[in-house]
Amino acid sequence: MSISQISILIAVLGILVAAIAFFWGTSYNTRKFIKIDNRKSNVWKDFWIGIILLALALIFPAFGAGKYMLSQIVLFFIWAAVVTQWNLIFGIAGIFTLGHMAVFAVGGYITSMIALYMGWNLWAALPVGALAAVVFSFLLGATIIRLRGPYIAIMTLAIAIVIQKLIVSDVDCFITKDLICYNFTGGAKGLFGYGNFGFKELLGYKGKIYGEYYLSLALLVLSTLFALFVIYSPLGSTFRSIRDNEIAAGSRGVNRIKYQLIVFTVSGIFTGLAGGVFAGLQTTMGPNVLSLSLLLFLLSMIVVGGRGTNWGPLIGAASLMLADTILRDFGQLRVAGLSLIILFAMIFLPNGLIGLLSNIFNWSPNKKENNDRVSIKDFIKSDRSQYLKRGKWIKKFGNDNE
Amino acid sequence: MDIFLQILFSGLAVGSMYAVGAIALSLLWGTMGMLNLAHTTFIALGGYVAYFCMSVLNASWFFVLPLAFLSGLVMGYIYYHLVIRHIYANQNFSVNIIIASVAIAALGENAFLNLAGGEALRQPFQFTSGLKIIGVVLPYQTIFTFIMVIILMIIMALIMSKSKLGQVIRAVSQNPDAAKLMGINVQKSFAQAMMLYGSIAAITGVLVTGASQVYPSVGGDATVKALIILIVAGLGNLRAGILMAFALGFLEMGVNYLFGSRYGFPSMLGFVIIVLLFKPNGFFGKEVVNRV
Repeated sequence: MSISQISILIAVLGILVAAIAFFWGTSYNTRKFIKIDNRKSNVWKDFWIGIILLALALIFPAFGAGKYMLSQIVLFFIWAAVVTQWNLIFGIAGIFTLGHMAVFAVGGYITSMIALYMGWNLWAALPVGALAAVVFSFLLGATIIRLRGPYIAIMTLAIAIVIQKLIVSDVDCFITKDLICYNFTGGAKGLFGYGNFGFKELLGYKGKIYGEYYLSLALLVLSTLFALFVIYSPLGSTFRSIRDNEIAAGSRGVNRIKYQLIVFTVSGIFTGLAGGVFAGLQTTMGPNVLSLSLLLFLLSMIVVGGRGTNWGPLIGAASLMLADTILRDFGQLRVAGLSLIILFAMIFLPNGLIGLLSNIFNWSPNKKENNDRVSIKDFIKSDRSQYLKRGKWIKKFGNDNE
Repeated sequence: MDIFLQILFSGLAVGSMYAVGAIALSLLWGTMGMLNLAHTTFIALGGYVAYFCMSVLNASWFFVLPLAFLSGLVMGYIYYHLVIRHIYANQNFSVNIIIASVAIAALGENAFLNLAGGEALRQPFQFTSGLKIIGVVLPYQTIFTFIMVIILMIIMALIMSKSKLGQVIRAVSQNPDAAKLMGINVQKSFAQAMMLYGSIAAITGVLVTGASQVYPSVGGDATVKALIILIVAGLGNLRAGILMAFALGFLEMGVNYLFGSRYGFPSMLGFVIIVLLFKPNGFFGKEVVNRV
């Protein structure tokens, strides 16, 4: 990767950050000390951010970026689509699942299996794969329905590991073609030879990458729109209420079990679709999508970007992909670099890059603490002494929920 | 009868392996409310220290356990002061530490990969032969690990109930603020608990890798399984955890022998999921009510 490409990437990222900061800054009203319901202004802010990002992404290939770079951006679009959906469960609903890559894998595997064994076109197989992912996601949510916090993380991680082990250890012949044995799930070497989306025939050898680019862009746009729709709908408020205070939400008549199942189901749709698109673009689907390093990579996107924020996963995905292209030159040390990034973000940026950005752009010399994250909960937090008292009070009664 | 004994012996081996993991992990849950996925790093550390001591330095086996103890102690201290302390200061500790410890596990695996290479090494601190009972071999390593489980459990119980360190750790785990008012240095006691954990985990690493080989990701499975076992037994209940470790070890090995080795872990996980659907706090766990 040449210096010019890196500089283009950094410039693009800079423009994104500046655009987001600009709209963040303009929409922030310093006179209102606490804004409780600013849903409407937020919608417009997100609308403009989305339009600018979309316009940038649409015209980006016209600048003559190389094929390698475009394929990296395709990967970025897919991972960003996955983490926006993961963020719905992880950040908005506050259910700490680590099994989201299993949902992604189910989408990809079912799509490619249908195309391979039943001879369907890959386009037709996509919705079926997405549907299978939705069903799997629902079941994943149902298995952990009565568990809490850290238990959920461990159990979902274990489920993902078990699925990976089952796929890798699959050695029985499902079909035998030309004396070569094909396993049902493809085993350790994965599924291949199920065709692709046909961009080569449609657009020629040179135009293939543009077809892939715009397909994955469409996936990301739809996924982000869907996520924003969920976040701003009453459903999103319900998810947040359960995350912030489960007992209070329950006493207002919110059924936790019902909404936990709903959030798993809705986030499964585009995750499964992303899995199918990934399988079609890579033309091979292997068990490495369930590996620990990929899980860590996507998890760090959410953590670095900012949990439970609208654009955090997107920014996190962009910065992590950038870091990954740089770390790729260091070969073996790539995973170590990723782990250090995630640790660094957890210790120094508990609210992620979005939190850092809003801290920077809402800073003023008179204000001692920032209170830009507009909720009463955060307002109470903002006063340091009060926060400490509250923390002690909670600890005294053994609350681990915060 | 043969196959029954075979399942019994291998279940004993696997169960004691999970039990040693559970002993160390439940200490951390008891003190800080922390589920440590970086346990795999400590296991690999113990294994590599044993390999380094006996194969590279050609030292006697006598030095292996003390050296593993020391290295685990140092590692626990470093881990606490570099990572845990800062994450404890933020909110949501019990979940954040899981994410952070996944990162630590990946970091440790990568470090061992770069330092010692990826190939599986034979760990020399082990017994090679076994005891023959009605045609079935019970390896001495299994007996040794089983005895060590009991010894470690007794040592842990003594430390926690009798020593000053145990009293401090228990006081802090019950109420950090009250402990602070009584003049206890909370951070220091957390660091001590972490060091105690590290040394026990490294010793378990020596035991676990003796039955197999040493490679960077050696403890990954055992860690996740030990955590699952702790959850299904009810966190904070060490005796139930050890009982559960053996029960699930027998279950896993039984399924392995009857249906093939790919179904051992899935059936164990399925059992755990079904149990947790009906008893979300585990078999012997108490319900924890969070007041807000």
